Amino acid sequence: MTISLHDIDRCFQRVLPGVISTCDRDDVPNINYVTQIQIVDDRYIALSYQFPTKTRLNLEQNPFASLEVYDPLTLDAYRLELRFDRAETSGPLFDRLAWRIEAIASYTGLTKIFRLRAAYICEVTAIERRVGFLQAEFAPSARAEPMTEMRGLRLVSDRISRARDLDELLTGTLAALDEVFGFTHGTILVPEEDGRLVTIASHGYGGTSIGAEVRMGEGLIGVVAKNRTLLRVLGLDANLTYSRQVRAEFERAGAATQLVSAEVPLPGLPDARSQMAIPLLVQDRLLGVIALEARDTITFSQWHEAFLQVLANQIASAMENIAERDEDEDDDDPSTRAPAPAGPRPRAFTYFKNDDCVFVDGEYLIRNVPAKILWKLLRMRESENRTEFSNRELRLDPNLGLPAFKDNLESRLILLRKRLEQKCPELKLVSTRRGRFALEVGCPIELIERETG
Amino acid sequence: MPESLPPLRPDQVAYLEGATSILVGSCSSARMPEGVRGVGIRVLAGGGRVSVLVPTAMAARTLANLASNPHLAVTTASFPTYSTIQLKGELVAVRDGDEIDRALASSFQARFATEFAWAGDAITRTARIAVWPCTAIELAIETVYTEAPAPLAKDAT
Repeated sequence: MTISLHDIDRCFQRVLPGVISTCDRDDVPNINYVTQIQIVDDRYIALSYQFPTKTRLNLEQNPFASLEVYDPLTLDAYRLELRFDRAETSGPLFDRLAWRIEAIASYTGLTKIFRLRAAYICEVTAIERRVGFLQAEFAPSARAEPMTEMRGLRLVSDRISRARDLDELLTGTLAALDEVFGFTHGTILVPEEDGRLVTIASHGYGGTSIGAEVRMGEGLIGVVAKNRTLLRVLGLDANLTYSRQVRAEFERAGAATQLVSAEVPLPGLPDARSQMAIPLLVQDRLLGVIALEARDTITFSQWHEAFLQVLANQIASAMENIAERDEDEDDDDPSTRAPAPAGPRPRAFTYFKNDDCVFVDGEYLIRNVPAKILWKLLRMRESENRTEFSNRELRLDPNLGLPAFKDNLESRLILLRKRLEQKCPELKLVSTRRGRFALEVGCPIELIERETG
Repeated sequence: MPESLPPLRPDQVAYLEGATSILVGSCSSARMPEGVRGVGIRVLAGGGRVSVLVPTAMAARTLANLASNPHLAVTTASFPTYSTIQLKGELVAVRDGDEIDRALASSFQARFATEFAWAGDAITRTARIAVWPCTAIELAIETVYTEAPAPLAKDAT
């Protein structure tokens, strides 16, 4: 039976390193590991070239190589015969390989060391299964059938189209992905003006990740946001262990320490073994990133990429529609009513003007635009007895620093609402009707304004 | 990359014989390279030679290559340090494995689980690499390359 690259795509998910054999012009062989291998199409694969190695030199002297790869689910081994075709130093394939390397390297502060120099494109001229490699052989787990995929797509798609507001859209999507595909841990982050991404929806973390931030370009999520492309990293633990060994080598050798920067803590699960992040784009504009992770190495398959890309487009469109719908609302004067009765426990809100940051009872609550919004609401409640507000009046306030076009206001209100739920449940932002909300206060509050913390 | 000549130093001997992974590379007369996983290694002749065990069922191409091209590469790796030692040399002899080799190869299965640990406990608890019958390949060492994880590597392993 002829085996195709597609048949063995699990072997290229970078869970287990492959073994590549080459030989030089004097017929002296060389054998070593290769970790970054990517299927290009039905006939070609790409090997990453990050460091000068004998493998690379040999391929330029003698284009033939053999590669042994392993299925991480069954441990079946496959032998591929290769013929080196060309080296690519730019283009979509190069970028994709480079970004994945960058994402992993950024976790360990090694982006200046682990960088792709070239993608070595090799034609696969033969594939055979290594019969007898294992004493006991294992049947691969059943793959999802196309109908399962279609049913899943329909279910998630239904949730998206039925969402009445942004919060329902994002939390509903993450819950549906768990229900249908068992993606138990997921977050959705939205970009801020200062180059950070902030978490406004989460599933599987008990709500603790709301407000968590990632810098643009750092880690898988940051790299996906920066480059606006889906990335999947499997065998994360293996990759990190390897990177840390490299880091340790550099530190031991005292070599080029200026090339090593601080480690970036993994967002979410500390023991994640696989991650996938998908950009939410409308045209080329980034609305957010869906980040999924799992403790299992092989939760995310090749087919999930295409599937989730379709869903991501749908989610991004829905986000856009919700924002536009909200902007179209009428501009009636918001109602005024008496403040809610105060509860027993007073809360002190401190706004640090120079840092755009609000603390409650000395504990960090929120910063940037959502902090300015909260402060505006609290001040208006105090000075004008206002409790109901409109999105429109927030948009028209130049002091909040919202961009004139596509301001992401809904996302910021969701973040503010969830942070209040976590840190100060006596204050609630409650939707009253489309484009309007009330600030409900269930305790006496004190407002303090300071220049800086 | 650090490069040395035989005989192997005691620390190198210890490293080789304790390695969790052994890779054996050869090349045909048509310049098609071949790799096979080793299942045991023994240092001989005061550090000038090694005997590498390969599963016979997996080694047909390697043995055929050695009939026409005596050059061999043997890479040993130890996880999780990711450092490797690669030996380059020429074939001295090939023979069928004996009972002593069988015992060494059988003991290697535990190291195989370490090598493949990233795939998860479920599979490595149950899967066993085939180690027997095996063939012993004796190599006269010409050069020893000690390699740290990749970025510090220079140009020749």
